[in-house]
Amino acid sequence: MAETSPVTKNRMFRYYYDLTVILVAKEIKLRYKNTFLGFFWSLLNPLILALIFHIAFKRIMRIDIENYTLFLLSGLFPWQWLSTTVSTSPTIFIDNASLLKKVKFPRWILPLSSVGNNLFHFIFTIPVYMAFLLIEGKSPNWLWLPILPLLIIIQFIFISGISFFTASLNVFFRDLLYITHMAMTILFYLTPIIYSEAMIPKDYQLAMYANPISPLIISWRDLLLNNIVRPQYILMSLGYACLIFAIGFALYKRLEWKFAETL
Amino acid sequence: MNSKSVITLDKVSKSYRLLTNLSSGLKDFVLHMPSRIKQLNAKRFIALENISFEVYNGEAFGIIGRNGSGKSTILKLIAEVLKPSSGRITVSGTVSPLLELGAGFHPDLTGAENIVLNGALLGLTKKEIKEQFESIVEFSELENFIDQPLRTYSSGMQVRLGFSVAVHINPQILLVDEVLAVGDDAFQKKCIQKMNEFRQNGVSMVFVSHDMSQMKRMCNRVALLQEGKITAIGEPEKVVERYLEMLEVGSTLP
Repeated sequence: MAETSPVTKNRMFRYYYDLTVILVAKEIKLRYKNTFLGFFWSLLNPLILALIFHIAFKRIMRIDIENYTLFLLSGLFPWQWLSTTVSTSPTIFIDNASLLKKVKFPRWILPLSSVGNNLFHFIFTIPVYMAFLLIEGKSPNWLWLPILPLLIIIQFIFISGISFFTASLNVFFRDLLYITHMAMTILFYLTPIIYSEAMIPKDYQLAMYANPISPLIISWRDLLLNNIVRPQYILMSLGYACLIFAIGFALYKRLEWKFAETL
Repeated sequence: MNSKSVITLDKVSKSYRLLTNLSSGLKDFVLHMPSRIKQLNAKRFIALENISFEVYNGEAFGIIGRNGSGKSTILKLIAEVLKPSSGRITVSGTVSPLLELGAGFHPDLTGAENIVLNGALLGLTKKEIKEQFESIVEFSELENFIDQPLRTYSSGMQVRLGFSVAVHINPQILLVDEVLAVGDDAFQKKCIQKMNEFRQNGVSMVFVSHDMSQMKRMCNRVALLQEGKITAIGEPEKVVERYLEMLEVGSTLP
């Protein structure tokens, strides 16, 4: 590679940014093209889910956790961002095979734009959650301002790492798609989403920390439901996110040049 | 024409592992791990062997050969989509691969949206696409359809749009794989005119085509590829003649 001057370097970053935005915008446009409600669906989906929980857990099945609807949603919305991205991530490169074989462009933008696309839908769940928060007579505090973006960044790094890993490996081992789907189902129950971390028996506490998603979901619930921050959980989730990103990206870098000839 | 080379291939070889074993899945691979790994390394297909040539500034370089002789592999190596197994490739300047027109085109997006998408994938920033947009639309002659979804276009119209974007990224090197045979006569003429304009501006081109008269007309030099090796290189007339002789000999065999 020739040395790049500051001007061309600037242009490069500009280009990466533009390409990511264009690819994310494309997915969002395609999703709602030819629908009457358009972007409103991004708001409607979480809203309906929240309403159903509200009816089910408030009126029909009474659960011994205070504000169970809010409790559930505060873990479930972030989880959904993760699970929808991860379950589609194995086919990111396969779906773009013709592109990878014919055009030279930064391939790492594909997994990132998929995470960004799902982040867009996650953002819409926040007003829905806040509406239910207000209905229950609660309100966000000032901690939301710095911590909400921080958690989004941590989770973005986290999901990107997994996506790089699964997208790259699945080009060579297609079984990974099914393994991923199964793993996500199991992980859902191993992560304190439908139950709280306090409900886990003492003997299993350690096992919970071994699940890299737990500290992140706990941090989300701390903030969204209880308006608190526990730095140890934030640090733990940041640590896991960086570790997983490093592993995922390293694997991607190792396999990247073989995509075009394998697909 | 000055003789500064813009593309240099130095003893380039490309071989592939044959992936028959891997596609049978993880279970099979794990169960028969040692023998499978041995098979993986043993079964290699040599697509290109010891290829060396240079393309000079402003030159039109042609590659001919039968199907499967490795022509497209060379283009993909120059486009940096593939990596050589050994040897070195040096490419200086922006490459516009006319290998696949309309990379990333999506049928449900409008022509205008597809221009942005395709332009970005070919290396343009948003601002650069905006600057070129009018000119891209004008060249494609699709002004009246540009806000319609691409699926309503005929295949000829789609190719016109793709070609139009590809020639507007200001390439220094153009890779052309049989695409000139598209569109109606009028648009083909326009393409050839655009090619000539590029050449006058010092853009280098690498052509792959089965149209021998076109090769003779457009190229300064031609290389003949046979089973991954270059067997002749030089004057278009002579190399094409040799290729045609080769084909005749081949066809008289039982």
